[in-house]
This record gives sequence, structure tokens and C-alpha cells, in this order.
Amino acid sequence: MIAEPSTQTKADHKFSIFNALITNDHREFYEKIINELIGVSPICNQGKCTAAAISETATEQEQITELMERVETFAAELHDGTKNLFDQFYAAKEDFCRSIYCTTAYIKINLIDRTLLERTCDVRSWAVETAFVEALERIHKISRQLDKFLFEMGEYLDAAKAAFEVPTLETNWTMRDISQFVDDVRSFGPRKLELMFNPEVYQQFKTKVDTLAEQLGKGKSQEATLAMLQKVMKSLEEVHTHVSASCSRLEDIGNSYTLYRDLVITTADGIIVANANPQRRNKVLGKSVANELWFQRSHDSGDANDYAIEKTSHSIVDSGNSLVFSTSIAGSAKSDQKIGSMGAFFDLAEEAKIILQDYMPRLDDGDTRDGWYSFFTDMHGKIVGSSDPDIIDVGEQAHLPRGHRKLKGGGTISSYASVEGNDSAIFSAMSDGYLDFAGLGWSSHLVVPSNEIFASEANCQVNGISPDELMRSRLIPDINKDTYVKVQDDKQSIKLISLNGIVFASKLGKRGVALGPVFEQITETGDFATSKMEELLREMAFGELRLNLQTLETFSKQAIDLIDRNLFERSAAIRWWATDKFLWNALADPSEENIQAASRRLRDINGSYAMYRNLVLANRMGRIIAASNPELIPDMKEARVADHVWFNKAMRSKNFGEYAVQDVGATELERTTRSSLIYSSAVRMNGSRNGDMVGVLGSLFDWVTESGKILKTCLPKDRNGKRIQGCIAFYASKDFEVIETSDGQIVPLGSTPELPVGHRELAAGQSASGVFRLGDHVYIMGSSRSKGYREYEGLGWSSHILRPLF
Amino acid sequence: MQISTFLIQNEAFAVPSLVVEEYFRPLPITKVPGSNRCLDGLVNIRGRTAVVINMRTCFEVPPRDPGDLGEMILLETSQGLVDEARELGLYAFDEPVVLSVDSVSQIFQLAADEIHPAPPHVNQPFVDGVIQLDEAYFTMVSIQKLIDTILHGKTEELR
Repeated sequence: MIAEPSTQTKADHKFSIFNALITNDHREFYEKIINELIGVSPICNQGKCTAAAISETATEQEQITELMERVETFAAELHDGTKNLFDQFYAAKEDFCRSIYCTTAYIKINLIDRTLLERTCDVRSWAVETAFVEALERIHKISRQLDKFLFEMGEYLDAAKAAFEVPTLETNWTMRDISQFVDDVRSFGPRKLELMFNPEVYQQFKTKVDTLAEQLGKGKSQEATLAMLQKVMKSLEEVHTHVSASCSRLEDIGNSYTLYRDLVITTADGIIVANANPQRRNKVLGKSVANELWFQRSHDSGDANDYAIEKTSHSIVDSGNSLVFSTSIAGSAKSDQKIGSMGAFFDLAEEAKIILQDYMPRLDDGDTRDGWYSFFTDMHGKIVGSSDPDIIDVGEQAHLPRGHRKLKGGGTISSYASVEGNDSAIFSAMSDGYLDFAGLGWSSHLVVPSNEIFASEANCQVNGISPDELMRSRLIPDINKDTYVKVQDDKQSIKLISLNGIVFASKLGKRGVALGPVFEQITETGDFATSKMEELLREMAFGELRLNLQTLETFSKQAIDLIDRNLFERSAAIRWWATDKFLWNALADPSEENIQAASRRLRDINGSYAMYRNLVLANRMGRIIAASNPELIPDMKEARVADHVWFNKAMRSKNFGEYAVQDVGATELERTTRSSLIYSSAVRMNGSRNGDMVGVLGSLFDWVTESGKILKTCLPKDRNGKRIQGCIAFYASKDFEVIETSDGQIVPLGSTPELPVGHRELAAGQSASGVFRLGDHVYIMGSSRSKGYREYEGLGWSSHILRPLF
Repeated sequence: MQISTFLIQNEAFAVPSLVVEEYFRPLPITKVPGSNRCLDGLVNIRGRTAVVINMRTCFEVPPRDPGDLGEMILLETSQGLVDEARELGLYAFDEPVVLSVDSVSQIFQLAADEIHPAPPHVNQPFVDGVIQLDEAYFTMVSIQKLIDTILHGKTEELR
């Protein structure tokens, strides 16, 4: 990518008509007006001369001369006005584009930050899982024993070799054979790690040991050696049991959270003991990551609440472009004792692709329009994700103007530069993190061809609104309205002056005939210039309208994207939690103690996930046996959910790892909130794939608070970042019923507003915008339909953002 | 003859240019209580006081939107009439009179025979005739009838 900062900076706010950014249309337009106006002066001079020639009295001549002077003054004013208007026109467009595209750049980095925040929660909550802690502790213990066992095994085998006597009749083994086999088995000794973690090596070893043991058993006084071999084999077997249990647990998690390329658990020394991706398993188990930065940083991290994030592209675990979230795993006895690490390889390349290719104008075939690029840079200015890696190379230093490299958190900037030989505008926004996630110091950049920013709107039309109505609307800045009034005023003045002139001339009888053409010319010129200016102002107005519509589309898209991503997390979490040991334990054996443990577990989980109002555990009969917040359920003891959608759907699920949703609405499980969104997943015996279904876990998402928060975020703001009054944001279900709204007065909950067809019939992921009349109010509205996120399909909802015109 | 046209609720009317003294942007009107409903009141044009006749009221069309002040036509006084106007027998009042119209429009040159008498079904008291120019029709307003009906003998009271 080549970007050379050009001489035009944003401070250059005066647009000369010779500025390269001014379109040819406009230059012609301008020249025509100016030429006409320049013509006024000679006409007026001619008028004055004629007056001198034909006037009979001084008063007559004065009257005509005064008229001519007034015309000249008006022409000069119109001349200046036209210049200012073009200035205004371009400055306004530039301003608006800066606001909309900087916002878009920010939305993109903010989407990444929100995702990364969820990821920091993931790795920390997985790292405290009991199964992993137990496995690591056992493996650690066995590993130390194995050192000893393997050493002793060597000694025993040597001794056995020496003591082994002539083969008996039942074997045809020679001393050489024995010697060879003993050496073979011994040679595995130093390969302890492979023996422990690589199933293939373990199998080879097992076969050799079995064969040798069989032969040794036929010799005399080999009991001690055999016992030794047995000890080694038993230890190894136990290790492999733990390894494979941990692997399948990680695999289950990985299946719910598809945004990870792999998940690994290592010992405190950095040896990988388990991973989630079965394809990579043989290549990574038993390997050391001790020299990889993410591991070292996880080891340096503090308690279990601490985490590290490291970008990597060449790890033993995964060679792709990943962001590794890591944290240490603490021992069960002492929380400050680190017994291992967990690394979660977040699929940065894919995530960046989804975000970067979104919010970009597309051609009919779905490709992004040429000249538009979107990319992220890290704190060192290196490109970490790109909408078009063939042109903007990932891993390279981004060639950005200085100001774009010096941004502060949450800051935005724009400038003109040449990108890949195109005159472009670059809009950048720096991450300011999200909630308690500080961000990684990354920036988001959007490249837009400059000719698209200043494209002509001359033929722009928007259905449902007339130019005059638009000119009066709140969208149009006061300065433009004032100019519009002034132009119309000028138009009237010039008309009245010329008409008066014509009437005056007519009264001079024959003498006045010479003045006629002068005034006719003035009328024409004045009319032409002022009409053109009106045209330009209308074009400005439609440009303003179009950009406003685009902004509303962007915000509506953000609103539906944020909710889709949020709900993706909910669908992933429920599937993972449903496999929790405490839950199936309590369902299988509902003793007081087990139920207490399950309730505690639900409370713990809910404690770290504030977006849920309640987590409830129902048995097969549909009775709630445990909940994270039992006090929120009207009658916990009597609560029956057998006829609830979330419960039934989950009970009917066929496969492990499925989840079900009950769409937004009231539920008997809640007494203090008007509507909930419930996710559920079946709980299976032993949390295993083929275990019997023993109950259902339900999560009551705090829909009202969370969706309200997102809608508020997506309400339009003016160029100074202040919220624009009277705007409304709402979500509609697939049946177009309002399921959350920022203004219950005008768009009430549960109502089904008459949306225009173009806003109803949207395909997944599609957006539309236009004028929308609701009762006495006139709005412009942007709408977007859910496209889901990754394997979460979405619920067919749509989001709508309204901005009042008056 | 030259005629000046103006619009009243999108309908075109005309008066001879020779009876027009000047076109104006709307000026503030001082209301006069108890006067003929066709009279809006008085305006001050560069020191001269003129009565304002509301043409919308005269032609019985609803008033303009508030905020739309229209435009004004100051008529010649009998003193100011040029000779040509007198020769044509055009009428002028002794005092300054202003017609309040929606907007003044265009000026045309036409021959006297292009003015036709108003068709019999036109039941308007202030009409002199109709003019056909290409496709368009203009109603010729009779200043004399207007002033006779609305103002005759009333100006003294108004002042």
C-alpha cells in the first residue's frame, strides 16, 4: 500500500473552484453563472449610455442610472454568493463525510473491542474449570513419578538382559532378540513427553512393552522387571486418560465457540497436554511452547483474573494469524501456585475479514467497490487485518499520514492522500477499549476515493419528499436555509428592478424602446443566476439527505450487528454451561447437597456475566431445581416450565451442543421485568455427547437493559457528537412487532408500525433508507435486517433508526 | 399596448403597464378599522401614503398563507399619467393606490385587438376583458371599476 500525504489537508477549508476535488459538472455550472453575471456590467453601462442619450430631464436620467447601479450591485452580490455557495457546498460535504466515515471506522474498531472483551472472559472462565485443574495436577504428579519409573525401568531392563537365561522351549527368541527389544524399550525412556502425550508413540511403546513382557514372563526371576514395566504402563495409561478427557472437553468448548482456531492447555513448563482441534492434535500434543510469547506472558500474569493478549502468526499450535488470549491455571490447593496455562487462539484473520468487508459499498456482484479499503493497524502501525490483503498487505507497516499514526484512544482524524494511485480520503479512528477492556491500541482506517465524497447529487431524488419540504427540514443547516432565503430574495429583487425598468421605459414612449432589451437581458440573467443557485442549494439539500440516510443505515446496521453478536455469545455460553459437572450431577442425583452445589455454580457463572437476569436449571419434568437468582422467580417451589417454549425446544434437541431460543416476550419466570429472551440447552449425563438428557439449562438474558443500551448507542449524533433530539431507535421481530424501543410514546412496544415495503422486505444483512411518515411526524429512517453472526443465524429481526425532519 | 401581468392564486391577471408606477416588495400595512373588506389598510411608500387593495379579497379567493406577503403594485395617480396613457383613455385615481397581489409576473406587448370583451358568463365586477396570448389567458382588470366600487368617496374618511 502506498499512501503519500498530499498538500490538501483538512485545514484547507476554502474550496477554490480550481481545486482538483471540484467536479467538472460544478466547474461548468460555476462558469455559466459567472459568465452571465460578468455580462451584467456591460449591459448596465449600455443602459446608462442609453439613458444619457434619451433622457429629456436630469431626473429621468438619474432614475435610469440608479436602476442600473442597483442591478450592478445585485450582480456583484450574486457573484460573491455563488462563490460562497460552492465553498459551503464542498465544506459541508467534507464535514459530513468526515463525521460519517470516521464513525464507520470507529464502529469497526469498537466491534473488535467488544468481541475481544468477551474473549478475555472466555479464557478466564475456562481456565478455572475443575476438570482441567484436576487433570493438570494428576499429570504433574505422574510426570514426576514417571521420571523415576523410567530411570528404574532402564536399570531393571539392563539387569534383566544380563540375568535372562537361555530361552525355554516355548520361545524361539534368542538372546539377541531380547537384547534388541530391551534396547528398543529403553530407547523410549528419554522420550517421556511423547510417551505421555502422543497417542501414536504411546501405542508403539505399548506394543513393544507387551511383547517384551510376554517373553520376559517366560524367563526366570523377571517378576521385579515385569512389575516395573507395569508401573510405567499404568502411569502412562492414566496420563492418556486425562489427556483425552481434557481434549474432548476442549473440543466441546471449541464446537460452541467457533471463533477460535484452537484452545490449548499446557503444563507450567509449557508442554501442551491438550488441545481442541482434532486435526492438529498429533502435531501439537507434547510440544513445548515455552519460548512463545503468549505462554511466557500467561506465566507472568498475576492471579486467575489476569490475562494476556498476544498476536502471533507462527506458533507451534497454529500458523495462522491469531490473537492468543492466555492465562495461568492455578492449583486447587493454593491459588497462587501456577500449574499450567491456557491459550485460546482467536481467529483474528476471519474476524477482521467479517468486520472489514462489512459497512462497505458493494457492486452488484457483491464485491467491494474499487478504491474502498478498510484495515486495522496495531499500536506499532503494522497492518493486522485488511479488507483486501492483495493490496493492503497484512503484516506490513501501513503508510499513513503522520496524524493518523498519532491518534489517542477514541480519537478520529481524516486527511486526503494518494492510496494506490487514487486520490483518496483516509478516515481513522483509534480504539478506546470497551467497558473494562482497555483495548490493544489498535486503529481502524477507512479509505474512500475522494471523487465519491464529492460526487454530484444533481440527479438525486428521494421518494416521499419534495425539494421545498426538504429545504425547510431540520436536516438542512441554518446557513443553507439562510442562503436559500437570500437567493429567493435576490431573485425577487432583480425581477422587480427589471420589471420596473421595463415599465419605466414604456412610459418614455418611443424614447424608451432602446432600454427595453437592456432590462430584458437583466431579467434573464438574474433569473438564470438565481435559478442555478437554487438548483445548487437543492442539490446540496439532497446531498445532505442522502448522507443522512446513509448514516441512518450505518447506525441501524450497527444496532442489529451488536445485538446479533451479543446473542451469538449467549448461544455459545449456554451450550458450554450445559455441560457443567455440577449441573448434571444435581439433575442425576438431586440430593440437597448436589442442588446446593449446582445453585452455587449458577450463581458463580451469573456473577461474571452481568447480562443475565437468571440462570435456571429444570429437570426432565420441567420443575426448576436450581437458579442463580431464585428470588426473582415468583414461586420458585411451584415453578413448572414443562409448557415453556425454551424448555420444550431444548428437550426436543437431538444433538449434543444444540441450543434453543424463546423469542422476546413476557415469561412467568419473571416478575420484575416486562420481557425476556431465553436461551436453553439440554443437560446430558456426564456432560458427554451421548449421555442421556437429564434436564434443561435456561438463561434469561436481560433483554430490556441490554437491547436498550445498544439502541441508545446507535442513536444518531450531530457533527459535534451531541445526540440529535427526537431520534428514535427500535428493534422489530420477524413479524415487525416492536420488541424494544427508545421512545415508547411514538413507537410503542408491541405495536406494528406500517413500515414502507422497502424497509419490510429486506434480505438478511441488507439495509435500506428513506422517508417515513408516522402519524403527524415525518422522519427519515434507516433499516437493517439481521444476518446473524458466524453460525448464529439470527432471529430474523430488524433494526430501525428514525430521525425527525421537522 | 404593453401590459403588466400578475398572479392571484395561480391565475393570471393584467393591467396596462402605463397605469403602473412601480413594483414593490411588500411593505408593512397599517390597518384601518371599519373600512371596506377589500382594503387591507395603508402603506407608506417613501413618504407617500397609499391605500392597499387586496386583490384576493376582490376576486373572492381565500387569503394567502400567513407569512406569504405577496408583492405590491403602486398605480399611477391621475397627475402622473403620461400623455400616451391619457390618449388611450386609461383611468387613474387622484391618490396613490396599491394593489396587493401574489406575485408580479411578466410584461407583454400586444395589439389593442387582442383584448376581447369578457364572455357573458363572467360575473366579475372588476373585469374589462380577456387576453389570449399563445395558450395562456389573462383577465384584464378594470382599475376604474375597482376604484369606483371600493374607494369612491372613501379616501377622505380613511385618512
